[in-house]
Amino acid sequence: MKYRGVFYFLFMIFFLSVSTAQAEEFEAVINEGVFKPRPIAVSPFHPTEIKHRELATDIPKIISDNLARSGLFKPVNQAAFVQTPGSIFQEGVRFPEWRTTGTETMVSGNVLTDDQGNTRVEFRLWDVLSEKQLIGMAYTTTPDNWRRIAHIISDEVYKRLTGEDGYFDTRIVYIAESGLAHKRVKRLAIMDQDGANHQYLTDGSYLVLTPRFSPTRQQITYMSYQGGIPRVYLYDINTGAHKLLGNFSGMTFAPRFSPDGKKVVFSMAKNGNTDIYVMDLQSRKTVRMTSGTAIETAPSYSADGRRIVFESDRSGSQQLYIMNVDGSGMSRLTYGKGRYGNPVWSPRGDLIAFTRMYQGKFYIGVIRPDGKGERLITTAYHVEGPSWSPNGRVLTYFKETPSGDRRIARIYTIDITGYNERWLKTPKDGSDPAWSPPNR
Amino acid sequence: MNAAVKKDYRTALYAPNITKPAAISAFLHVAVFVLATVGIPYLSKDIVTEDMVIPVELFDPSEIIETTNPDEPQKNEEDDIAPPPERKPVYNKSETVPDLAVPEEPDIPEPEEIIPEETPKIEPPDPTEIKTPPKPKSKPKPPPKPKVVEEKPKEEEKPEKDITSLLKSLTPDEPEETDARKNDVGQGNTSQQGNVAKQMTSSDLVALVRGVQPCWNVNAGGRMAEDLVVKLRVLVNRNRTVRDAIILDKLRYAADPHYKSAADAARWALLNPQCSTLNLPEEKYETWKSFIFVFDPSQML
Repeated sequence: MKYRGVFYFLFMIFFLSVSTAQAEEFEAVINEGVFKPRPIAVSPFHPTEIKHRELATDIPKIISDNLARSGLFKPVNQAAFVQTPGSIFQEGVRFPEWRTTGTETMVSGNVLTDDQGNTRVEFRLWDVLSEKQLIGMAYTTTPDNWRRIAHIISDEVYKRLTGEDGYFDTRIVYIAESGLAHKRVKRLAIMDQDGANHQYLTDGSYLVLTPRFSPTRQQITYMSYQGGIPRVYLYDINTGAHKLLGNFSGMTFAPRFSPDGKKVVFSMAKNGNTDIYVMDLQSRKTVRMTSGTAIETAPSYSADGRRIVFESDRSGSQQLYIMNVDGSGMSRLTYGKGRYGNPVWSPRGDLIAFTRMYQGKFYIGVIRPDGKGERLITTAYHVEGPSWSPNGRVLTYFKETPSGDRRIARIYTIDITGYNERWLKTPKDGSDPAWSPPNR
Repeated sequence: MNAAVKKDYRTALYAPNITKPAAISAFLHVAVFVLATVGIPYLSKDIVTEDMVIPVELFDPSEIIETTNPDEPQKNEEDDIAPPPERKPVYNKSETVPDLAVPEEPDIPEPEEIIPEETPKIEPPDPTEIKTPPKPKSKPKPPPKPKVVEEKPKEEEKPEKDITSLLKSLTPDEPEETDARKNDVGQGNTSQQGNVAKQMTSSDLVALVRGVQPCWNVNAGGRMAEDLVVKLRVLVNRNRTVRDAIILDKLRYAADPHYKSAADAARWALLNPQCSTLNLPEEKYETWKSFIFVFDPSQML
């Protein structure tokens, strides 16, 4: 008992000393940085057998190309690599040496054959600065499916380093165009997001427009002049079967799926007036969403399926409006000069992409759903048809430029920052691209 | 006996000795007051690591190229009209790869096998990770290459782009908002809020922050990027190199992939050899040997 006071005294001395030490720990705030592609080294993979040599080179090449194309990464030149794939496999990653290449992260991997004869691809993502592994995964598939594995690995790397889902294991459906301006042939076509595995879906004997992917099924909706009447069709990618959405009395166009894939919202011109309708794909019941004399078209669901953005000339000029899915709560979104059209709600929900025509020029822009933060991110003689990547980070669209007596139509992609615009090569002219959901 | 007991009882009742309890009580009150004033102590252990400064060259944002798809041009498959082949499945998609650390082991573990724990390292092990392969015992490799081959010195001399210009806009008719944003950012690229120590002056802090800015790569355009404020405890060696940068909000780091990405970016800013030697006044080592660094992108985006 008589030492209690001494104990308290020592205890307080200790507490005061460490507390004082903590009090001296200051706080610095940094609120300005840079934005540049992150350096990443994608090493060729290690082939465990000679027959895997090609894959061990091709898979990392696709990963590297995917990451570079996103604009968020800059693959380190292979000439600067400090280890061979075999050396990495046997010795591990020599981090201090890799740091001299300027890289922050690094991808390595192996290709082997499993007991069933399938190809097994293992990869690892390394944090070179912290000297630790960030992720490590393995995938098994048939040998001819290697491209898809490369895309899936790219998605994993992208997700770990950006926090957002990747979009590399996706496809893009678009309209392939050929022929003279007055006799244009337009065909439905599909390809991987990097332009590989290109395939035509229609033969060009009838006009097709505005294809859109189902968010949940291997299905595309589009408008076609099959039989001379413009109508909305559904196309099953796996079977190739076309199906008329509905036998309506008026012209139907601008179709788009709801986020759950159970409904299609579209426009119908009837008795000289165009309004927005929604069809339940199971019951085939159609509900009219807008009324009045104004032209209302190009509807697009919000990511949560609760609201619809569309274009309307009800104010006298073509502007964007938002309404609830039951048609209530209509409000004007844009007030800028010129005409706004073709709105598309981001899968992320934070932005709406649109086309704007102002003073004879076309723009693609983005705006927040509250009507603030409008930014025009690209322009051209004619630029149209924005479509979001499934993670809401990238837009694809097409540009038309005059060339003699014809126009050249090309598909592009751009980051939502407005940088990293890239031409997505297609065998012929391309327009009206639409991005698939992930893993489709 | 009874009388003695009664006497003691009376003494205790009417003339209690309260000096000691009062002293203890006063002491505890003071202790609570001091604790409330200066806070809970931070107990950290000094980890001695090898200091290493490796020069590397930064990448310039202007090098974002606008090129065509690098893949081979597609074949003209004009007559090939059919539904595309059904996409083949990829099996064991979420399988984690086995440990690479023991290359001489002939058998690859079964897919179901649980990943072994990480090998002993300075940092606490993450159960989801695989251990780091051992470093080579000998160093037979040639000296490190001084720079990345593809870099162009001419472009490196360009000043870094201001982050505010990253969200590109061609909009000609919204001057108010743009100006307001510029003003916000222009009011200070550094701010020293919170507990600024007596010994660290404003200019010390500005120098510190400016030295790290070129290495803090922000994911502009990322989802809710402006809300991803990251706090790190920075442990600094006497030669001003960063010994470690510890992410404080570990729970959020584990649960939120966006935060994880932002936190990694902040950490890499401090570990990047270009910036890991901090601009700090040498004579104030006791002050800056451990401090808190807040990476706040809210004014940029």
